[in-house]
Amino acid sequence: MDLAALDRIVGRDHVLRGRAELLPFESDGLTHFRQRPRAVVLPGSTEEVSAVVRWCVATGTPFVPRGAGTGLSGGALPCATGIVIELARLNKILEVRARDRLARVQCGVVNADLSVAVRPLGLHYAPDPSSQSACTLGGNVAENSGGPHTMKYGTTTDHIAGLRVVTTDGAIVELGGPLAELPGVDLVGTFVGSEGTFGIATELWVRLTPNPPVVRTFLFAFSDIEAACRMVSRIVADGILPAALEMLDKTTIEVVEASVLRAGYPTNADAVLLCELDGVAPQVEDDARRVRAIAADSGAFETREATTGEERLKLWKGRKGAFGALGRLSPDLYVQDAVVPRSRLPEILRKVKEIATAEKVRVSNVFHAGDGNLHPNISYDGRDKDEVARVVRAGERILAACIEAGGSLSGEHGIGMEKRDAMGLLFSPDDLARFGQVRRAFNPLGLCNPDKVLPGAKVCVEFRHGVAIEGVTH
Amino acid sequence: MAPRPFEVGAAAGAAAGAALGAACPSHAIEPASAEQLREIVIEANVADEPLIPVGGATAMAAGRPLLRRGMAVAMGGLARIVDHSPADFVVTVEAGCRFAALQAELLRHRQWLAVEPPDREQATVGGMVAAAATSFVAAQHGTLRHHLLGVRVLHADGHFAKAGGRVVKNVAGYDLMKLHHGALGTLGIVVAATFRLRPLPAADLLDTAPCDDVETMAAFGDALARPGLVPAAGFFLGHLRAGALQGQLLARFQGARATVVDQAAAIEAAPGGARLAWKREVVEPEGARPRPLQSLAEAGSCANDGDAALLTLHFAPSRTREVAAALLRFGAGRVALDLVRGFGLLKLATDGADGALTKSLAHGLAALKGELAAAGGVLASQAGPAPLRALAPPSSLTPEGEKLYGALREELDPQRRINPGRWGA
Repeated sequence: MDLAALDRIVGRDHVLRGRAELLPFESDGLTHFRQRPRAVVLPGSTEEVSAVVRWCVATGTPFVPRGAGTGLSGGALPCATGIVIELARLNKILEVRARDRLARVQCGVVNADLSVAVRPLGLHYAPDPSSQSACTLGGNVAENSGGPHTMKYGTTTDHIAGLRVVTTDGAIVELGGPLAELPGVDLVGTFVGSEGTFGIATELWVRLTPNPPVVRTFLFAFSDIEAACRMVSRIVADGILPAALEMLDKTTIEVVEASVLRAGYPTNADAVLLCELDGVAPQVEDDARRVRAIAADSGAFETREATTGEERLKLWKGRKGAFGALGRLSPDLYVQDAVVPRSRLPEILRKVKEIATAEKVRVSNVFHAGDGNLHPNISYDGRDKDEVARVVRAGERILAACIEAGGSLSGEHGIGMEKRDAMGLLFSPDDLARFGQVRRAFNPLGLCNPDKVLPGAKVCVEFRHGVAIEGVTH
Repeated sequence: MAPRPFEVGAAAGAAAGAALGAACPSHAIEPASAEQLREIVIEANVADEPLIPVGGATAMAAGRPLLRRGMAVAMGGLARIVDHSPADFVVTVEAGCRFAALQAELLRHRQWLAVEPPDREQATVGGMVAAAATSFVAAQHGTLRHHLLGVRVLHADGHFAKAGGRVVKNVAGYDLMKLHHGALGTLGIVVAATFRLRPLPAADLLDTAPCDDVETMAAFGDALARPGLVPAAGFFLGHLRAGALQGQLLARFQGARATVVDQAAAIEAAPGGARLAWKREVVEPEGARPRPLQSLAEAGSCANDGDAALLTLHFAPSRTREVAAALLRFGAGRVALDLVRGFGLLKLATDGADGALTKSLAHGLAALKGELAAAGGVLASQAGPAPLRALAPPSSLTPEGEKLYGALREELDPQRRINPGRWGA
């Protein structure tokens, strides 16, 4: 591989090639899969991204775009014969139009940094994945990221007005823009969530959301998680649209409380439901009254409202830090992500419990209850090959159960490498062929993030803990 | 399932016929099921005949002119509500179902699909998806694309495929819902769609006031953007005459009863609002629509007005004053400006012929387009004679975007079987 050509495009300091330099790029947040790339290139402009992609096309080199590498489905897993295009240097907020509630940003801007920057204007960027302090907006576009507040505010796709994209042949294309209802085929919406397989979005027009005048955050504690799930359905059925409805089960509560997070969750609860209401005062007041009544009727044994901003942050810190806290249970954590219709939550949680018992694995649940978006987390020791095999099997069985219940493979983590071979559980061969055609239209040479999302190709990755997946090079 | 003459003289047909011109289908066929639709597509492939899917025929003029005459496929036979899960606030409905019929069914459960298109009685769900129908409550609820969770599509090769699903949050597979939304069927015929529903708002209040000057209109738009106001709609609706505008401001609030009253009071008391004569009306989910909402719907519809041209304006709300001033200089037509989102509908009377524009109209439109562009906006067209369509192209895709669309079309409908030419060759 002629890395000197890449040196000439981005400068020698921005081409990583040494073993130690490449190590952090061997995986994303899904550390099951690891693969060392031939090099990591850090372009500093859209034009440099374009030039790097053109070089890849000219040399037939596969390339994998990467933001912060916080993805949890292996979407940024390198290809053995290819390079990683790391976009962290494109980290500028280029323009904010407060009156129009828009910002133009580079793809490497960290999600939370944008909200911090526009806070003095009374605005924020609504999608708030748990990794928001690290993940980039470009990565959010690739994954169509969600977060706790997507129940009311939607996912990334609802907040992207336009994109500057480096196509898979290196052309620079403007899609959409800072205007409403632009006529024509919606290529922006089609691009969002394509997991880095349609090209590289280097600049984004994002929609900003006014900060709500009133925010009220409640904690409801239950001695039965199914009762908590039923409360979720009742809130929605009653016509209330909370900003967030988040659930933590007993195991999660215990580890959060034993950690530095100490959010103040009652450790005698089987489940805690966090409910956030926001909006204008009379609406929130009315909703709060009704939610309290539903909680009382649903068997909540404790109702607590955050009375200060500090208390509210503490409740959320526990929720957002829960995945990290689960590290206390075992050396490794497999964060699963699936969706079911909200009304099926109680039965699916029962099923998850049954599967965990049958496979002798430890599962804890922390999830976006309002969206039916489950995160069964399996704690395990990766050095124990038998346990790893059971973890993988349990994960597959949980996914199958969710699909059986009318759900889907992923609510927010994406398919990436992790679930591409499970796509056949949800989609027919005709469906998958259609996805393939659409990808081919955007990515005819197949060089851009190959092997992700769709089943089929055999790839050359090492599964960290020795559980075999495909072992043949492509 | 025998073809019958395509009725261009029916309520929707006049506009459709005028827009389709020489390529207007002479015959239509109405499948009673998705399987029958599949047979039609397969036969059309054998006969090398283009197919023109028709829902409520409210957006037949959208996109570019058809390149070939084909057979109209009336989708009205696929009108079932396939599955409604009130507990999950999700509905799956066949494409030919009338939007009004769907809403009526949902209303029984105090739920709704939170959009309000111009042709709510006539439009079909599939047609609204294909044509990316606008919504008059988009300021609060977004447009149809925000509610579309899944699609089932019949492709030009006669195979069905689905994308998305029936859950409210889903990133499994590519977002082909967005791809088909607004594609005018050129990438496949939407057979059924699944939508997220919302609870019916406890209260729905319309607040209107006469308005005849740009500054009052723009101040109203600014007021609607103030913190704490969450309008479902904020429009100027009126007529343009040489150097003058005449119309009304229209604010709509949905939510808890106390909230909507508070919000209406706030907008009435906002700078510039206090001197206006406001009129509040309750919008009932059933029954007659208040007159201003009917007028708004008429401003965005060409379905029953074959002689009308319809243009869309896309602009930054912060540039409302410049856009309004440009419209005043243009000085003709009926206008509905969404002051919250920066979206406008401009309806012009034409002579109905597909001939040349009058010199003054052509000059005025060119100037309006230029002034809009200078303010960072775009002028596009949804219906009208060919010269007008050429002046205000219906697609905002750049040439590179067109190339991507062309690649998609080549993959999904290489024979250009469905709606040939509607979004380009």
